[in-house]
Amino acid sequence: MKAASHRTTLATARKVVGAILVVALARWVSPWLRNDRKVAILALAPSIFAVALFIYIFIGWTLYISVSDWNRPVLDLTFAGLKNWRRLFTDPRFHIDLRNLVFFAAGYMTQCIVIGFVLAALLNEKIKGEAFFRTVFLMPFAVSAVVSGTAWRWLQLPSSGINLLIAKLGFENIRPLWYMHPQYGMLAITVMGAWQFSGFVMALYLAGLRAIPDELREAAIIDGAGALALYRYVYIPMLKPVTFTAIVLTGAGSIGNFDIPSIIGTGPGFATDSLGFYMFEQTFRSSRYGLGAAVGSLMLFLSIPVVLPYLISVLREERE
Amino acid sequence: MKCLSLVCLSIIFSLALVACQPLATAPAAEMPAAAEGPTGTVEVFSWWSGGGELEGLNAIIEVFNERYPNLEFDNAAIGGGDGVNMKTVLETRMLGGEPPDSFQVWAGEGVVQDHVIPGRMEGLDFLYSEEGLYDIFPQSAIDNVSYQGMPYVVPVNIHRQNVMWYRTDKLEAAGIAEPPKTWDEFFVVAEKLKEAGIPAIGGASLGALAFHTYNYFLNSVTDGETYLGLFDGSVGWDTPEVAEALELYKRAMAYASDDWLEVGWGDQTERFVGDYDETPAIILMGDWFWGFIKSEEAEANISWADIPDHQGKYVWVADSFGLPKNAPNREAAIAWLKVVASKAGQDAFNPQKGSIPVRTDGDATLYDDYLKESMEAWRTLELLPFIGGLSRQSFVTDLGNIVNNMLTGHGDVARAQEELMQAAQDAGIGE
Repeated sequence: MKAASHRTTLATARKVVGAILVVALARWVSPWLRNDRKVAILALAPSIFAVALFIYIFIGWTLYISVSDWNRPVLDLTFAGLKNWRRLFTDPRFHIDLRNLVFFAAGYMTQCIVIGFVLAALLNEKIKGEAFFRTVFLMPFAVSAVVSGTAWRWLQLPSSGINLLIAKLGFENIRPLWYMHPQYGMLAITVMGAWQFSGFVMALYLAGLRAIPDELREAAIIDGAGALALYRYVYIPMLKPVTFTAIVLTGAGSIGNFDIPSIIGTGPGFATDSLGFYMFEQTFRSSRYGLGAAVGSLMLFLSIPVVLPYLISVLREERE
Repeated sequence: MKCLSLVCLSIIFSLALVACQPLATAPAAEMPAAAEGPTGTVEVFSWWSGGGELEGLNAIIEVFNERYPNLEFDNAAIGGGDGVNMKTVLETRMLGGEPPDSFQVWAGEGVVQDHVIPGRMEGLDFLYSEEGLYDIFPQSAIDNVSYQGMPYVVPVNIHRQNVMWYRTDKLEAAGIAEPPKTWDEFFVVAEKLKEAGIPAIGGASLGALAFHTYNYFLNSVTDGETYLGLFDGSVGWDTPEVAEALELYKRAMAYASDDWLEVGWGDQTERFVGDYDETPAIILMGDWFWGFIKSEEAEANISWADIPDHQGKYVWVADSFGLPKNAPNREAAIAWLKVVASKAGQDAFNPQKGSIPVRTDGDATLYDDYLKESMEAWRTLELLPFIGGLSRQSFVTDLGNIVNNMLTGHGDVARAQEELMQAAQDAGIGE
């Protein structure tokens, strides 16, 4: 009986202390919250914290691992200087991957931007069933890379797929090796990537085209501009920011290419290997964490020249 | 603004209320386990997802379910030859401190280097003693799964890795009565098959799996001592036999089907059991292929022999299961390991899988002719672990990539050998 009353007193005391704490906190916080800037900081704090932790601290951690001696399953953070970086730059597979990156970026970016622009220009002509075509062109973007990669793998298999169609058309002697080509297999892969991403670039351009005021178009037509001149002197210059965005997105996509080689394989003589897949294999299949971190860091450095001009232009626009 | 202040205040209020709450009661996990044995789920990683492998796994799961009706078996199998995908997922789970309850791994140096030395595994001396495994497993198998005298995994089977499978109808079609016994004979046979329009040997776009095939050529040109020496460091990877094996491999692949680079191993095995223009007369593969042949009911035209120049050698692979530290359901994992080690478990699993039991008291009547022959060979031939049982996973991956790159890319044997020397050094062979 005595114990029960003691418990009740304790519980009441807890509640009173809790209430006092809450009131005190509220009094202290309330004037602070009236300041907009402080509220903004408070609201942004979780995302700033998450970005700092999951992006910047991990970038720093990756850079640190890249100069460590951790190349076995046992964690070893002994400082190893530039050992991993030297190893990376002398690895023939890395040289092939750099060549592959150039091929992939050239093919993928060109196709995405040209096809995306042409599709957007066609849809901008207010054709019948525009919504239908827009969905059709945008659909591949919604398909998983694993699914589209597998389908394209079958299509480009030299002994079947598209080659069977070519043979059926009577061109039996024409048998491209597609992604199995020892030198240019990477170019065949760009078709897979571009098929998936061109629709998205189209959407970007279409939004850009729709944002161009009609008066400009009408003025150019009154000045005697034909369709080509309209694009050459009005649309293309006006769409520069969209093109810039498309270059950044496809450029960063080229550097980070991982899913396609992971689906179709690294090809003969690493013809379809990528830096991303090389990093993955070194890290998780060969336990060379230091070397894998060096590849990851290098991919980050490679993306800086692609992303930095974009960031500068965004900041400049904001200032203006 | 007022709204935001209210939200913030309510969050602070809730936090204060939580702070004023009495301490929580003990977690449910600390409650005593049910008297009738372990309960819950046991998550087991393996790479057995099709053919005879899956049938074998299902058979042993059945034994497990009968013995432990209160446990649910979570079959977390991830397909991909040689566990190439499963091992990646496992590695990320291990690094993240979230191991499965148990996982498939090759017995030997790989598990020691990659999992035991990094302190990821529990020693299984207690299980070996309780289940009498020290008396029932052959000493060679116990030695192979032990590090500093402590066993760390339980082997469930023995596969023979070095088997030559051949299509009797294809050899007959080219007028060949006997399969080749040496590589010199093979190249004579291969020429005859070529004239008949039949690919002599199965090849595939190998990826990291090329190490298996390289192992066959390496064992064709080395004696057992040299072969083992390459992995204990007493023989360097600059030894001429390494290059000789690479040359031999390269030469043999000239007799594969024209499109061998375009197809994977899965396609190649399908081709071998079917009847296509590209069906090869010979395929070199471990006897896990036997499980596949049986599941496809394709035994009629297929026979087996020693790989050329492999007479007297039994290169073996043992699939095993271990107990990771911090296994979420340790008791359930131990229950699974007991089934893996049991006579009932091994005799249910192996006849389906196309392998022989590790236990010396396996019931031979349950096994077919090929497996009986394999049991006899295991007792009488020179036993050599395969590469995956002699080196860490990084070397296995590197070896596959290096050989594959040579065959499909640069073609330079000397360069491949140099890369192998580097890979051996990276893997700490001989340290």
